[in-house]
Amino acid sequence: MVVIIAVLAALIIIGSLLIFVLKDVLHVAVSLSAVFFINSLIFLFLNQPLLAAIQLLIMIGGVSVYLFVGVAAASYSHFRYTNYAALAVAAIAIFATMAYGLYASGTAAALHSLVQSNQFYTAQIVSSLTSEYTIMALYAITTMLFLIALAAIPLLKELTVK
Amino acid sequence: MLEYLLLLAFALFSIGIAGVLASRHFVVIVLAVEIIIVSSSLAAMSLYSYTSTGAILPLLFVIWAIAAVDVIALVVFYRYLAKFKVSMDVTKLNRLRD
Repeated sequence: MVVIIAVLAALIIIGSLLIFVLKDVLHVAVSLSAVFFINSLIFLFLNQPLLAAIQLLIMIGGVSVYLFVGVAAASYSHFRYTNYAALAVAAIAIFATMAYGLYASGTAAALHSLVQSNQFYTAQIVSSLTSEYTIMALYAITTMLFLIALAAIPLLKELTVK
Repeated sequence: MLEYLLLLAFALFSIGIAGVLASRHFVVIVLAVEIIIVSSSLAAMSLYSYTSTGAILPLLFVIWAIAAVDVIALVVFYRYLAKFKVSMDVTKLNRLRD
């Protein structure tokens, strides 16, 4: 489980960095929806299937489809929009500040003792609504909706050009 | 495990803030704000999952509402800018005053 979440963490950081590297707005939107999807998968592996389904439906089903139809279908724009050196320096500085605050203020140790004392955090509420098949069906439906929206973009461009 | 999840959320948050600071494209700035929203959702979710504090759940719903409203505002402003053929470069947005 830890290995899976580590792989997902690496993927989500790569996906969030690709937003600033890619040049096409459509590719950027696909990368952002990949970030949403991996975030939902992390929720699922943290034993919260209902919240993972809500996250999946809101983010992929609503936000990404609206983003595709509204923004990526309108026009493409190609210019170099991100200063990579400023991005790297600012990201590392802010992350170092926040991580230092987490460890130096004793918050990490307090959270660790809190988790150690609370032994019931793995006990989860699994109702009939959140069985495995329902979750799998939700993921399948959302993936189909995502692919339909992705495939509708050339059609929309043809319609708007003529 | 909780600390590493919080560190992951911090990394996403710092990438989002740095993207807002370092980008010039209008859409990419709003999408960096979306990364910040994802990171806050991840932090709230990991705290809820490891400490079973029910008071975090309304925060999650507020975060999702903000994410939805954010993208709707992005689409409205994008169509406005594209209609009047204003550049997507935010350093040139003072053309809107004319």
